[in-house]
Amino acid sequence: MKIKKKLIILISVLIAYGLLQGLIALGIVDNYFRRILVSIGINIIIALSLNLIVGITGQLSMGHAAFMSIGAYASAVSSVALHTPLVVSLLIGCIVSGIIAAIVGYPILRLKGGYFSMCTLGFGEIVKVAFQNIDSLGGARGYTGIPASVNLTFVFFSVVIVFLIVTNLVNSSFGRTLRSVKDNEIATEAMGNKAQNYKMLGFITGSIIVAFAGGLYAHYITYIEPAMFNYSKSTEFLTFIVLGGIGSNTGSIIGSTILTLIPEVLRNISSELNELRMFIYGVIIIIMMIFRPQGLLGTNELTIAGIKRFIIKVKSRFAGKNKIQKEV
Amino acid sequence: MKKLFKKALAVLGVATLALGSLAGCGAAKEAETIKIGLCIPITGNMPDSGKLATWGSQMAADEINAKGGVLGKKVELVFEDDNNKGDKAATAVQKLIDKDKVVAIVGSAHTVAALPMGPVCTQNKIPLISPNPTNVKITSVGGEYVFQIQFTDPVQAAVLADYTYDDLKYTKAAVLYNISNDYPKALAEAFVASFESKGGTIIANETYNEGDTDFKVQLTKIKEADPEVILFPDLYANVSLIVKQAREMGITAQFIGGDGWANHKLIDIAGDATEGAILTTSMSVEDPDEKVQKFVSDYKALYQDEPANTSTMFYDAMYVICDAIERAGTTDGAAIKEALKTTDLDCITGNITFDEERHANKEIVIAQIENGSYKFITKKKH
Amino acid sequence: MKIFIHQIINGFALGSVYALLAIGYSMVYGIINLVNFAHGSVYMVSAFIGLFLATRLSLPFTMILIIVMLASAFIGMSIEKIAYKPLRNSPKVALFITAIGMSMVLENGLRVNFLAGPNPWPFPTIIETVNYEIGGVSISNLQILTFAVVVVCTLLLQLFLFKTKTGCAMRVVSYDKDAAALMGINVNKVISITFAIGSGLAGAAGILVGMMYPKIDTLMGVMPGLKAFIAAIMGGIGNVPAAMFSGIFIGFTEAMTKAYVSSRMSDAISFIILIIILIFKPEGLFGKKKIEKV
Repeated sequence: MKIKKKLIILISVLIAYGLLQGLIALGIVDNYFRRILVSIGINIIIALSLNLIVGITGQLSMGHAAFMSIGAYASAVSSVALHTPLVVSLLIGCIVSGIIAAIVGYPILRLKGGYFSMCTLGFGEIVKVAFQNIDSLGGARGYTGIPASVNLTFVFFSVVIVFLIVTNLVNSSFGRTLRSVKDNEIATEAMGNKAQNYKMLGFITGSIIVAFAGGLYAHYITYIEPAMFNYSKSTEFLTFIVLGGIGSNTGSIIGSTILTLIPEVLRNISSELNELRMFIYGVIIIIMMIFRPQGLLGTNELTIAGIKRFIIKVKSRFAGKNKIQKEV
Repeated sequence: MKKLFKKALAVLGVATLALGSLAGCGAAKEAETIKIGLCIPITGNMPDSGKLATWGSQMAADEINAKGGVLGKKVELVFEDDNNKGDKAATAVQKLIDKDKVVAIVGSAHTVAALPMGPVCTQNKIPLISPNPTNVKITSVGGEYVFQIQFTDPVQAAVLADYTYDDLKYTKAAVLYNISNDYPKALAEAFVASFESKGGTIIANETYNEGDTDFKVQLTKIKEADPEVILFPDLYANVSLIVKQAREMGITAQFIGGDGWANHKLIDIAGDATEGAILTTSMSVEDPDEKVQKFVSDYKALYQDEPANTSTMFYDAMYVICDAIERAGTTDGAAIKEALKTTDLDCITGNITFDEERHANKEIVIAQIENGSYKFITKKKH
Repeated sequence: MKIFIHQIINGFALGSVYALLAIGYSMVYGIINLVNFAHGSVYMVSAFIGLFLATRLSLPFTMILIIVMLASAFIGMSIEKIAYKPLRNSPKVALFITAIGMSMVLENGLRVNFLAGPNPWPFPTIIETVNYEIGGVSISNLQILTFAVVVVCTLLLQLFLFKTKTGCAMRVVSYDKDAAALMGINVNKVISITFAIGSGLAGAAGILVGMMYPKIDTLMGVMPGLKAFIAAIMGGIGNVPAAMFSGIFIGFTEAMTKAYVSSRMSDAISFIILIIILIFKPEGLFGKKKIEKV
């Protein structure tokens, strides 16, 4: 049964990839669309990692972009100075970020609520200022000359792998303990689990994954500078997961996809809108939050069975209201 | 149930919107106009540059069209917003190339966005003219299709240091610059290097962060060091507050700055505090040159404002690219690139030719603020 | 020594602005547990209203101050009604994201061409700057004015919170919303008043900052807003004098690090200090320790 399920996943991923390549070959997906797809892919990885920290472990981090920048810089330096292949550079970025997350997380994860958020926010600013002051990394002038070794295929499979890792993690007993930390820390402790240790592990894993995304970003844009990863970037990441539904992995994917698409869609509707683009983006966020405060999916996951149920529900809605009310 | 329906509707709406607009590009027709893309910061943290860029380039395009256009066709500008962010800029450029089928691109107004644009253009064989960023790496990072018509930071800093040390005979200088921005940092560092190599001393080297509005702490330190001349190498918005506070605190030293100062808003905000300050810039509205005077009066008539550095650079960029397309005789990217290499055009900001690194060779204007306007002093070449 | 006193004055001037904003943050955070990111934007909008009043209608300072405070109080209340009220029972993060959306709307809405436009604006001189020299140390009338406004506002607020019925209601709501509702307190009204007061103070800050640093643009609220938010959290939530003190403390640390440690690293150093304070005093500088029950 399990093997069958894995096979289905593998085959559907390959079909999706084949479809994508087909569309590219047919010219329907042009370079511009490919660029958007890469951005979406990188943002999905970021959203999944942040969801692990905020949605699953319940720690509202406002400095997530800092770990992304650490991953971006570490992997970029490794590629440029040590000429390491892409995968090795990305791993180095992840390791550096993980170590720093452990050092930083240890003291600040003991703090509650707003205090933890404030410390992560402060940490984000510290990292930014630090990078601005390291002249060998270009400081505010940014780091250039990073090889452009990331392409759509690489991002596509990265997203698939990260998604599988994260969902497996969340559904494991480790993931369940993380959720219990979110719901009630004291109860978790009473069950014999050290809440602090679990929070640490969740935080470090999230930071490692976002560093991976940072590495991808650096090797795709080929130029990074500290202000790219400021706190408004961190809050942008938060909007991804909140819109999709906090605690839902598929929700994170949907949220980051929609929010990456909106500015580009507005770009294409009319050039007159250019000036109002970010204004409309803000309005859309407010409206979405008012009508769907728990996010598009809430804490639910989007599954094939769920979609089926949803279709049946919608169908029966058109068939007649009374019927459903009886069923419910 | 109602909620469910709403959800379905929302998802459907978003999906159609997305697909319709992204995939909905018509079949390529024979172009009736020559499309030039402008990738500029309309939103983001530098929207004023976007506005100036629109003004300058639109004015140039209208003039060119009034004279019959390029290759017998009208020039059409396609404006795209880069949000003054690197990743957005790369996507915006790709959109201009793929969807709008532009033949060349002008942009961006700031280095953050300009650096990632170059590689995309070179990959797609579309020439890119970088108007006002002064970062020295834009052309080398961007590749062979990127041409920079503004002088670079080291050149500007050297001219400024020469003038300060040789002509004004100052030897003790202080620097106060923005650590979180590329342009001020590069200019400050280059100035310090040139000034010290000439024999001058930097007696105070202070910094601040983007978003700061109070500079009194740093200025108190500078005042104590008592320099003869102080360099504030930032964009006009921050400089306006700095010079005002400096004069209020009783600092009497000579103020100097770079092309970031060349915007009349500086004098509007800071008032008398800017009086007597000296700056290097790409052009002066008081330049006696006939061409410059015509541009200034036309610009004033059109926008009821004095031309700023950014708008002038975009104006010139339009002329440079249109001249190259005309000489190439085709809209093919590679041909335009070759034509750009042999550019020799009299522009508002001086005669523009490109060197091996595709940086513009041109004179730098030294101006002084007098009675609330930028007085032309001299032109220097490094 | 003279320089040292000078830098202390600089620190106080810087801190007063953070303090005025921090009070608003702290009150809103105390009452509905929301990091009101739009607070900095209200401050920005009010500076523009002040600009309009001063240039178009050339009103005197006190009139401008009162009108702007009323206008921004109204804006704050409207924001609460439109964007936050529908979300009152939702997860806090959703509220927080709405606040981010709101500040995007205000910043990008105001910068369209027929409103403020993308350029920074010069703020007119409403009160002529006068520098007083006391023993070789100069201090300007605007610095004194800002500091005075901060202190007066804090005192008035403190009186309001502890001596009036509405103030009492406010404290009750911040303690327990449901219990307050059961006691017959109109929770919606109290929250509206809180937003009005907080935003009114942001309005005052907008005018004072406009006069002191006469360049205003649509992004002017971002950095001060961030630092004020930190001051509010650091002081201990919902505590007005604490917010004021920590606002001034942050300005003071910033000035001291710039003056005596490093102006390059000043922001980083002040954040490090804040993190250290929170690690050792996790309930804020003046906060009370709460015992958590299961």
